[in-house]
Amino acid sequence: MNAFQYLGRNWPGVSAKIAQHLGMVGVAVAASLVVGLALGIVVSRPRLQKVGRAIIGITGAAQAVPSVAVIALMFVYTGIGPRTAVIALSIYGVVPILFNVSSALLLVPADIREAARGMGMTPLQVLVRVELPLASQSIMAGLRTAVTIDVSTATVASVVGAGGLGDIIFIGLSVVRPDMIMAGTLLVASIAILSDVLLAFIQRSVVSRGLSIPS
Amino acid sequence: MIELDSVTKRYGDKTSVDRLSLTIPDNAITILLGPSGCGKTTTLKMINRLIEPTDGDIRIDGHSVYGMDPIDLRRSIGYVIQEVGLFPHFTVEGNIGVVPSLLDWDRGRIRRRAGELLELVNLDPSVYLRRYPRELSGGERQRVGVARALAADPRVLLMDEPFGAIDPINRRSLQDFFLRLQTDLKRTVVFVTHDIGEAVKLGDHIAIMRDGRLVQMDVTRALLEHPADAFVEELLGATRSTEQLLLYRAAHYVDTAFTVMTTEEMHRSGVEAEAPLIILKDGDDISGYVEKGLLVTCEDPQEAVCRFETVSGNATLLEAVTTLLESGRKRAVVQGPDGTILGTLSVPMVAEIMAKVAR
Repeated sequence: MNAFQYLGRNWPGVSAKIAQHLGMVGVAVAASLVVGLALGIVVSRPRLQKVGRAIIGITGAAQAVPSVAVIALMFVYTGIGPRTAVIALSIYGVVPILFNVSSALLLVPADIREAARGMGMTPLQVLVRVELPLASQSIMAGLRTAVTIDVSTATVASVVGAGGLGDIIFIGLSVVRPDMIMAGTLLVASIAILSDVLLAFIQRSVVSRGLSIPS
Repeated sequence: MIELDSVTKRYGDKTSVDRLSLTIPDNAITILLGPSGCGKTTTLKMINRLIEPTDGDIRIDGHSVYGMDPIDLRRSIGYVIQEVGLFPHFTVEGNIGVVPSLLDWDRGRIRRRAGELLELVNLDPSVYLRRYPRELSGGERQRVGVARALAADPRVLLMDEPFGAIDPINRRSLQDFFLRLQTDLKRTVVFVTHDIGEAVKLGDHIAIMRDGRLVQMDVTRALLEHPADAFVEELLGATRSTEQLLLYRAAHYVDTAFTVMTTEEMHRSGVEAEAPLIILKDGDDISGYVEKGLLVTCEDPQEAVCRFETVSGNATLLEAVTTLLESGRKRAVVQGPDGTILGTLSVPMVAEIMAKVAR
């Protein structure tokens, strides 16, 4: 049997695994985005910029920690099940988002911020109308990194009993079924690619065209 | 009228602005001039409360700015900084619409206003409304910057070295443009610069600052003629004649002995037209001028007509002389912003003026 025959014959079960996989990634990415944005905004405020620069250093380094290690570590605290996987994925996904949000916000030129203030924007308006749009390209890049990492790392979540497409690959490994391994791998890779394409599309509508013009 | 009353700003031990008292008159351009670090930008930013003073009071039309909500205050004041102040993620329309949208104007009204303002600053709305700042030249950006500051029709404009990042040629034309604009708009403008030529060209009044204090404030010409002390004199560049030429506006030094007539009138009266200097103006076109006495020697009056250069009354004497020398013409006709003839200028006249000023 090849991978496609396997998928065809087991579609109901496979689609449930896809749903589990997407569910874990979706919840984790949403949590990472909320936490990463919020923390990134806080540490880029003028009074906290020292903290902000430290965060950029720490998150930059933290991206080198293997994602599997985070899942293994989380397992020690929260045991088996999807909860462990989602928490681990959320933590891991915060890193690139926080890194990109805080570095992009710290890069918004001080004169632009002052011009916004000088025209009568409240601090919230400066953030929403000026700072976040100027940082949007970088924020979207961080989000895309987080999604790609989470989609592939969620495969390992199978090890802590969280289900997802990892189940197909790991069962395939233990019973030596190359068609299952291939099917699982193909699905994970397709989801990673498709979600990135989708986000690239969203990025185009979120990021102002004025920013992609070379100055 | 903006009154600064003993305004002081200290950062730790350093006093940036020291008991500065200054009255900025309505409907005129007042320049804050001084070397870098003299506190002029700090002073400007205290007017719209971007910087809060350590001590003292600032009043606009008698109302202390510290009794107003800083957000409302800033929305009521136009603010122009160097070209980086435009938001790159907004179109020209979005940039001009910043303050109106903060004031909750509806979209249609914002678009109409943006179009109006672009026309005012000589940019075609159908071309420029949808463009982004990075698609504009430096000069165009600065025009948009001025348009943006005028969006909600503020009475007061604060301008912080707005033309500083522009090359000299474009800067000169932006200055001329801004002066023409101000002739119609008559806003109360506070303009920070360290460029003496710019200060003299634009300023109705100049306030000279040094080390956070006011050294001298006066009407531009009075200040040039009676510098309060050696510092002002040096700042005004009394040591070099070319710098001096920058200090005087052509309008103030023209030869006003002339009569205007049409070509036809000149032909008709011929030698009889022995006025001091005849400027030929047919309708709106100035076609030339005739020096005193030349008509007598010419059989055909047309031979006596000389070509000329036109110079704006707001141009500095340096600009006028440069124009004359580059063109090789003997005289320049100096025109006011509305096209009226103010008089004429020649290189020997400028030399004479400089000799007189140098004493």
